[in-house]
Amino acid sequence: MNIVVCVKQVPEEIRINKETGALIREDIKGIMNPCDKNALELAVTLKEIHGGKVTLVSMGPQDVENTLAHGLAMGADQAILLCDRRFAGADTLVTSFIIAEAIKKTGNFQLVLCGRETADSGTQHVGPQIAHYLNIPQVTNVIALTVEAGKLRTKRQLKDEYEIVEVRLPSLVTVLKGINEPRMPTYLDIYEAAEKNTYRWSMDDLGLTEAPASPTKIINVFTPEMKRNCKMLKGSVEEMAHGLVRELKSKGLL
Amino acid sequence: MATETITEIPPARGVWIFAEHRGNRITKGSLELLSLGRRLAHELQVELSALLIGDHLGHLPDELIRYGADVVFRIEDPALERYTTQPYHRVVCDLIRAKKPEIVLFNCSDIGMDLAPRVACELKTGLSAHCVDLKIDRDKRQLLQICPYFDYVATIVTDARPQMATVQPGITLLPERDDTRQGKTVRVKFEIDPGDVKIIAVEAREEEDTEKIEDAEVIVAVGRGVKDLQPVHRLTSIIKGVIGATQPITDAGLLSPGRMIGQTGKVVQPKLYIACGISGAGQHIVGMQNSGTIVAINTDAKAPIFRVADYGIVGDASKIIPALISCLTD
Repeated sequence: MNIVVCVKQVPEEIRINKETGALIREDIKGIMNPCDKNALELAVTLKEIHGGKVTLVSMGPQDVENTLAHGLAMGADQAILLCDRRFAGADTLVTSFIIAEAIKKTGNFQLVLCGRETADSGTQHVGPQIAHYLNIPQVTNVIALTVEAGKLRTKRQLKDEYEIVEVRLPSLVTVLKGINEPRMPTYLDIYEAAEKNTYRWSMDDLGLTEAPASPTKIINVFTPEMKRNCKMLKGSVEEMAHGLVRELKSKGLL
Repeated sequence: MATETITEIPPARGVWIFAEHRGNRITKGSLELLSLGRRLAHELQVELSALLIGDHLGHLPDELIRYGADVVFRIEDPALERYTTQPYHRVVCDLIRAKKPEIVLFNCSDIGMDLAPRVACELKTGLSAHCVDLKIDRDKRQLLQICPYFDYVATIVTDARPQMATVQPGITLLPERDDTRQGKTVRVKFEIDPGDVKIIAVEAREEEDTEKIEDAEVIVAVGRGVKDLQPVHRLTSIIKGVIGATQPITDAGLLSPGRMIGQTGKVVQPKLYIACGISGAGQHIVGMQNSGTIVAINTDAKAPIFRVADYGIVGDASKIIPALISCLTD
């Protein structure tokens, strides 16, 4: 069973340029988005049971290769980095389109796995949108998954219930962090992963002449209005604690 | 003189909400969407329509009208009794194509977050996620979609139609019910293809942690700035509250995931919310900003949490909390 795992590199720490509102990426270590790691762990486990090949697909700048190297050490067989200046600023719709084009180009796959959301923007859009572009069914919020007789059986975690669903292959699944515990690669894994291939694909490699325009635009980034008048308590630790308790008691809250 | 007839495509008009229901009731989130949608429709001088999909819908269309819908599109089929992506996606896309609304709103719910991205994808339109406010630019007839953006909020727009957004729960008051309100229910028939996903079973989700933060009147929430949870537990029990947390705390396994407050967790509205060592990232703020009284305790006087607080203490929560405990136990 050939599996594609979509991964995103996210900053280990979120810091914002207070002037522009832009995410600061310089000097901040990039890591594999947490639940994408769970998707990869699931893929490697399935490969160990059913055989096949695990391909990582990621879109981003060149330094994403570090994250992909980690993924290869965890057990993926090859990685594809979609790297092209013209991809910059893509919203979720365009990102999904480009990733779907890359998955089509990899050819024979039965399963696409994604983390449910990313730690930086967290829209949850990209999984279902890739599924749409690939014209395959999707199962989101998956907390357990097995492959039986060429079909997937998954457990979806919803707000107050679980849904057990069966779906044909090929299909796309988005997983939750609780699905497994991602393995830590050993030195040997890291050593061996150095032999594996990471392909860098540009827009031309995907046969695209121009990146589609993103329909959404951010027109401004601002500090939310001060919704309340915050009364700051002053003095020593004890004085502030007393002051707060007095205020809350006077409002009948304690 | 030869005249040329230009057939113009009629502009998209109308505000729609995707209505969710459960146990023969419209969900609270969808009632909130009616409240928001009503305001947007009023500003645009158009009708507010609700899209209601399921089986045995009974009185639910009337409920939607009583709570603010002008039109209800009612799609009933045994294959639609429980949500699965493909048939719902087909119905929603086909109806939007046929009726051309200018705005379609979904809840940030299990269904909304599964369905809306795929619908936006087929319709090649923009979708903003986790909106905390929606406004109208009347000149451009444009929906200003206000979304959390790290410690900030961003305004997102699209030139494509329909303009689609998923909306956070708890950002607006529930609409008033008006039993005399009149509206129109339109039954729409579809050939339903049940799709490839088959629901085998539905199991109750029993939390090991039975304390429900969403029902609590007093919440003490902890963030990364709190190193030791013991005093927080003590304070919480003294003031008969429930302990909540930001995502880093639940991710680290220090508290159960059901206690996470914010965009990917719960939305809470207690009478008293005490935020300890929480800087107030947008993702957290959306989960607690409608609490009655908010207290913030943080070492950084510039932390965004103070912007939504009623009372602020600049200080180390690990020193303030024991001081509060001794005030309350003296």
